[in-house]
Amino acid sequence: MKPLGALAGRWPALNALLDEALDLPAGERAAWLETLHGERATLRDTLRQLLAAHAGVDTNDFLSTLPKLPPGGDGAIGIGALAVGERVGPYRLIAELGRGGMGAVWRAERADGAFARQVALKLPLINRLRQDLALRFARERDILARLEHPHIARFYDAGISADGLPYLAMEFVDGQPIGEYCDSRRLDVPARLRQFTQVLDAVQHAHANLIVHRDLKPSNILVTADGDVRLLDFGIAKLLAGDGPTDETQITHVSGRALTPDYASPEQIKGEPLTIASDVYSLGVVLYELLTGQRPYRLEIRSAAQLEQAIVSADPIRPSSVVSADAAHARGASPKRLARTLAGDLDTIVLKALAKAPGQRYATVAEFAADLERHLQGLPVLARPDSFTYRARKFVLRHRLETAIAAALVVALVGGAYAQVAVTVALAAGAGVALWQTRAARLQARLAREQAARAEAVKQFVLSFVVGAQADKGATRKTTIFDVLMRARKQLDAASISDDAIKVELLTTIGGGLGGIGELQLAVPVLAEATSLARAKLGEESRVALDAKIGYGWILRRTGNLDLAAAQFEAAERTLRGSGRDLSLLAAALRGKRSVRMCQGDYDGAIEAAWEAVRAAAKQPKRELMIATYRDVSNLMHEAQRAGALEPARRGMALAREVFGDRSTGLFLDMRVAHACALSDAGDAEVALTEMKGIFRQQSQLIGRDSLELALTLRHLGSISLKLGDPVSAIDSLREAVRICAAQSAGRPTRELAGAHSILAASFANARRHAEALAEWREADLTYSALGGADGEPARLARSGAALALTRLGLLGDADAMFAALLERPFRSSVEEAIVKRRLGQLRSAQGRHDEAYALLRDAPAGFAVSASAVQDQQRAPWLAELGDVLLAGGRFAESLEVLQEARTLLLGSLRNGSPDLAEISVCIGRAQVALGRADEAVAATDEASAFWTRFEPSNRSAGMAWLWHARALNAAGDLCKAADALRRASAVLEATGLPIEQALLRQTLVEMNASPQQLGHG
Amino acid sequence: MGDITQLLQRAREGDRQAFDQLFQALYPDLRRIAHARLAPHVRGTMLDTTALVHEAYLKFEQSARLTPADRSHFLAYAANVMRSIIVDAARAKRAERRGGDAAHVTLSTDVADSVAREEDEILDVHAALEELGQLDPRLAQVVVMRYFGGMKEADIALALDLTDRTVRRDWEKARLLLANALRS
Repeated sequence: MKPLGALAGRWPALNALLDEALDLPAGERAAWLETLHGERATLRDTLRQLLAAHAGVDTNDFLSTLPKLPPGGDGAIGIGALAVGERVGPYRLIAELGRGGMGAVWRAERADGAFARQVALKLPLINRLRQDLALRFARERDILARLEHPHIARFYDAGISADGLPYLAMEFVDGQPIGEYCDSRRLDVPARLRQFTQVLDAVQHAHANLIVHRDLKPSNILVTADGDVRLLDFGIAKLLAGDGPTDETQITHVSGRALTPDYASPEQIKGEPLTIASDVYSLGVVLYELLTGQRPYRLEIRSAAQLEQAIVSADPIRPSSVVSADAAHARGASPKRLARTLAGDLDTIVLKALAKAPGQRYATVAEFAADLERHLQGLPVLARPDSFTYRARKFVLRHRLETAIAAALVVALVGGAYAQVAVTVALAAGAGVALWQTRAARLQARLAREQAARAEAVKQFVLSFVVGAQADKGATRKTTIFDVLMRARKQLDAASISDDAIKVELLTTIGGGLGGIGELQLAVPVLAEATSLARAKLGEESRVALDAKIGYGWILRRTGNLDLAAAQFEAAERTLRGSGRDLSLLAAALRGKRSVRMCQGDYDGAIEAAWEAVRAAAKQPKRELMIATYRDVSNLMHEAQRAGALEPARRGMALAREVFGDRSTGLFLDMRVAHACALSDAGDAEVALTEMKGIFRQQSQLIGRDSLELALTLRHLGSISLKLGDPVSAIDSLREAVRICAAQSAGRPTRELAGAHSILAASFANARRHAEALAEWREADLTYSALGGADGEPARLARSGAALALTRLGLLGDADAMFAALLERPFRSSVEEAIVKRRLGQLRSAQGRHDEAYALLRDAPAGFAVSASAVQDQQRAPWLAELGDVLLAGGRFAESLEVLQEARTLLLGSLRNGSPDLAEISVCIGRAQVALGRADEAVAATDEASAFWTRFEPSNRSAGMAWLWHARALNAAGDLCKAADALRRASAVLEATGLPIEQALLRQTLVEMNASPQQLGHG
Repeated sequence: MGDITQLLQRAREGDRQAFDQLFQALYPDLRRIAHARLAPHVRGTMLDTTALVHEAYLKFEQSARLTPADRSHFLAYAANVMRSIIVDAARAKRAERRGGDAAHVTLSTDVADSVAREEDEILDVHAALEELGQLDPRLAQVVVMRYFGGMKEADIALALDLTDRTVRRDWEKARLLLANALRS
């Protein structure tokens, strides 16, 4: 038999060549062999030999079937078919004791009667026929046989039977594994410790004889009925494995998974050499289990791979923290009492044994035993705990734990003695990748200063905990963080944290985290608990309690519980004003107050709170908070259409540039958005649009297409597009915004959703698509009403918009009813009054009540006095147009012309390509001109309008009206051909979509023009 | 049979005891199958025993929800178990031949017998396979699964995460090497 081992050195090359050769048809192989040169040529002979066999192998059925064995006896004596009475080596089998993946164990006796004592015969299921196994057995068994100790099961013999079955003969021990033994007798902690001390004795003895066990676990630690401990399998692992690291048999490798590494030490997992310290570690795990009934690291870790990861890098949970009712019962105590017993010294001792670095564990088992003895005698133990509570608190307070992951980690580490490695990975809701990277990088640096290797290990643990921590990917990220948060919540319940401040802080963080990912209903009870616990245990004034209260307030606001939310914020505010200390918290409380008031539709009140927040924030050091308050107030002023958005926006921008440089963080982008809106209010709509588009692109990349921030940006894009006379773009942007808002809120009413509907409605109205506008106004009204009540300013404004749409659709009776309802209540602000009155004026005009209409419209500008000048300008033009329209309808042609021309001039300044508004003004101008006898000017004006509509939307009713008036103007100017054309086009549209009044005008025009002599002349 | 599910789950999680217990539960079936493969009166070759292995597998599948990966692992695992059983049987046969009651502790593994028998083939292949395993573990595994386990190409491919083609090539190469080793 030619050994294959000889090929080992050249195998890779040989393997590749074989592949090449086998790819060729058989006939060509010989020739190919000749072509080999260089290195490859040296393998030619071997290849030739191998390939020569190929022919034979191919045609016959070498190895294709398993040969049959002629019958005899049972057919097989493998360990599976061993039977009582059979001989294995010098032993005769008496009874099978057990069988497992590793082999079988039998009770046996010496067949030759050399000893009376029975043995345990271990028949490992090894599939290796290693030449050196026998030699090694011989060597090792001498060493092992020397190990004599009352608590160690004697090793007698090892050998290979005639059939080639390896066996190991050991002292037969009749006992239970130590865990079962203690549980079945409900031994209390001191009794268990005494048992355990026997174990330590035994291991110490073995160590003194330079034998490391390597495989300590409860099933290898038996206890007899007399209470005597017996350790099994000392050094067997090494015997069977050889000199490498623990090497399981082929069977375990087949499935590709290691068997459970629960008791394996970190160095074992890493494949490093095992020492005495490894046994100490395993003993630590055994002790942990004896005391708590659980193994360390069992936080819902599913796979062996994750467990290995945890063993190598995660901190075990303190024994006193994992006490369960069952475990306590088995230890003859109540859970509380057991926890108290374990807390303190025992925790410390166990954790020292479980230290990751071998050098930090007990150096010898003797030391381990000595410390336990000291504990039993009530003496101080030598192991030093880290003062976890102190450090954890300090850490928690130093870093505003904004996210779920931080909470989960701290909770996971609660009970561990290594608080300094808690890492905060800030994935604040909406923050971009950049922010995460920066934060993480900062923390990494900090940790690196403290303990480099540790930091890396923990980072790995974090990453394994939260699979794929990346920027917002919508649902995927939420799910992961959600799991982590829920785990943290459960863990928090299970861990008995004695420090109330920490518990409150953790609850606040978990609740905040849940809120951050939109799980509002789940967050509410968590934060409620935090608040009440804080109130009960820490007092109203503690920072932790205030923080909890504010967090609770936010969740309440977001779930629509506005009154209760307001109560939280106001209470916090009162306390904070009184103490005057913590301005950042005060600013936070004020921000909350602002938010609630906005939801309630109280813009004035919200503005007041927003400015107070700015003032408070300006005096404290956290610049990001300052930026946030500037952003808030700017946005609010913009939304409420008040002047004063630009100044805070500028300040916020400047600050943001300072703080963030050119990093695109979420907050920075938000600030840019606010600034752009303020610019737009101030008249720079083009600049604002470009800026907003840029922001939109960046946000899409950073935070994904489904996030709320993006929806808000789209809203702004829509508004600005409207201002620039491009309602179609606005409609596109806003439809998308509505979609996102609705998706994000799962259909629940939110301010964002309501706002999006509002502006979309305005866009439709602007584009003269009144039916669609009506639908959107209704949505906006419903949503705003659900949020802040039907009497809030935004809800009322939405209803007035709907009423105007009804007017435009000719449904004057319905419009009237709606306005009447609105007028029953007083206006909340002058802006609201101005808007509603203008709209009502248009209804009155359509109803023919011209004087009333004029009266309503005339005073409108006063209402916008609070708005920014550019806002006022922008409002002015439409107002003028409305006024002009009303005057026109009332027959006051000259006045109307004047007003309308002013409006036109204003709009031309800011529009690029005309707009529906401008077109409508032009039509009105044309009408006035016709009435005033200025036909040519009328033609010019109406031409402009109809040209616009041809480009924009030829089928719109307004287009029809533009054509109609153009026809009339042309007719008045004597250009009958063109007039007829125009009339045809007007007919085409208005027959289908015209209001009755419009159709009436159309018919009238037809009659007029047909009756015109010139027309007849041209036939 | 409900506990099989739990055992599988725990074994999947790396619970060693569960693994052991699973083995215990499986073992009788696998032994029966392995012996069936050796018994001369069983007609046909691998096909029948493959069916038997699958039958054993199906027993678990009914009560457990096994993933396709589980099935492949099961089969691969079974093949290795059967190898040990079959090798044991061959050893026993050889021992019988040499005449029963051997003296205690022959630490040498020399085989001094010139008459080649079926059991010799098995043991020789086993030994050569050991060496092949040192050279290229994957090739050896393919042989174990085919020769001892009677697994089909597709199943081997699944278990080892290879293509059918690769398995075929591996088998080809392995047989070349083994033939070379055994027939000098």
